Amino acid sequence: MNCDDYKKLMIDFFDSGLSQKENELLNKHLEECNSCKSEFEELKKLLVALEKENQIFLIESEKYIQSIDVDEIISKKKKKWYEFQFKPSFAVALIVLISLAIYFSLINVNSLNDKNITSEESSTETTSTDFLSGYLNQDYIYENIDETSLPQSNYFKDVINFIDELPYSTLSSQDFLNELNSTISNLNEKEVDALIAQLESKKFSGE
Amino acid sequence: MKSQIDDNVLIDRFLAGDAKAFNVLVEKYKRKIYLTAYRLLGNHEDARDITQEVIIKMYNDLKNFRRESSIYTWLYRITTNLSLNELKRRKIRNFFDFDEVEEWLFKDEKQSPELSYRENELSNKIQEAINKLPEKQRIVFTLRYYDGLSYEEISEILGTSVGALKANYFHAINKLQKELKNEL
Repeated sequence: MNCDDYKKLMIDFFDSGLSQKENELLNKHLEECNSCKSEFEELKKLLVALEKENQIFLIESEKYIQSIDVDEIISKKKKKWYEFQFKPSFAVALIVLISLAIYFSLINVNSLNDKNITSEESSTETTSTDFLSGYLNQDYIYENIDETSLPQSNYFKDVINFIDELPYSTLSSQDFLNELNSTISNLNEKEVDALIAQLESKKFSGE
Repeated sequence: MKSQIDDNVLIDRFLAGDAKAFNVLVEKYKRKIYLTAYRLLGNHEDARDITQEVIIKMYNDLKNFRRESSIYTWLYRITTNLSLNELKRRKIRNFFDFDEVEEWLFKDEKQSPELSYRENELSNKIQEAINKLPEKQRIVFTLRYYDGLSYEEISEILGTSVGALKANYFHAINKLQKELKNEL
């Protein structure tokens, strides 16, 4: 046995204990090897410090743990649809919507057609402007990602498609991050790492 | 074994419509869930969020719990999975703002003023060192050292062999020792 093997025994000694034979072996070695003896003392210090920190942490955490109210969590969860249905603001919004629907159903068809044409033109303009201001292009992302290095999954493609839908200027916004976070939660670790690496290279390339 | 029987009784009562039985179950395990989440994520806010998520998941999914394992093994599995998802989300967030890496490494409200400066410092350094462990080692170290689970129980939760878990624990201790060498 070399010193590395004895290090494993030392950790086992503090972790789950040793057999009598292992104990004797370790003791004998510690008497003979100064380096391992000091290693053993260091390990003991670490475990004492960990234990002390844990005691402080347990006391500190207690107030947070006590503040977790199961009834509140469950009642919030249950209330959601109920509150939504009867909120005064929702009722007002509903009345406004119904009024608007009646209004639009009463105006003449020609005027509606005119509106549609204007709306289409405006929509084309917006897309064009947004594109010029810097859309992340799906082809660009695929060109810059080494797909062969990735275990492909539908979730990964979802993330790319999701990013593709957004103007670059919103990439660092909190709303974007929240949405992206929920989308990537099903990626595996390797895919997330790969995605981040590729996005990082994109960021640093000035995109 | 008795505790497991009690848990099964509580689950049956909850599934039969007794809300109080659910509260008893949560009260029994929320501390473990919270402390584990904290050790994996490193701050109280995230630990609280994860604990709430676990409670809601428990509420929704207890009817599907097959009782092939104990409920605490099941809860540890949910807690570690949700915590890992949170760590993934952080990776993405940190891509956009590298300063956040520093932020989540313990600029938290976790220490009380009555603790000495040195105790606060050492406590922070220890949690920082734990946060620096690779995910797998951090989970194994947390479940083994802080939660006192056996390697067999951890193996059931993580689906990893006992040998590999022992190796993870060994490396975790070595890294903590190196990281904290000058602090002890």
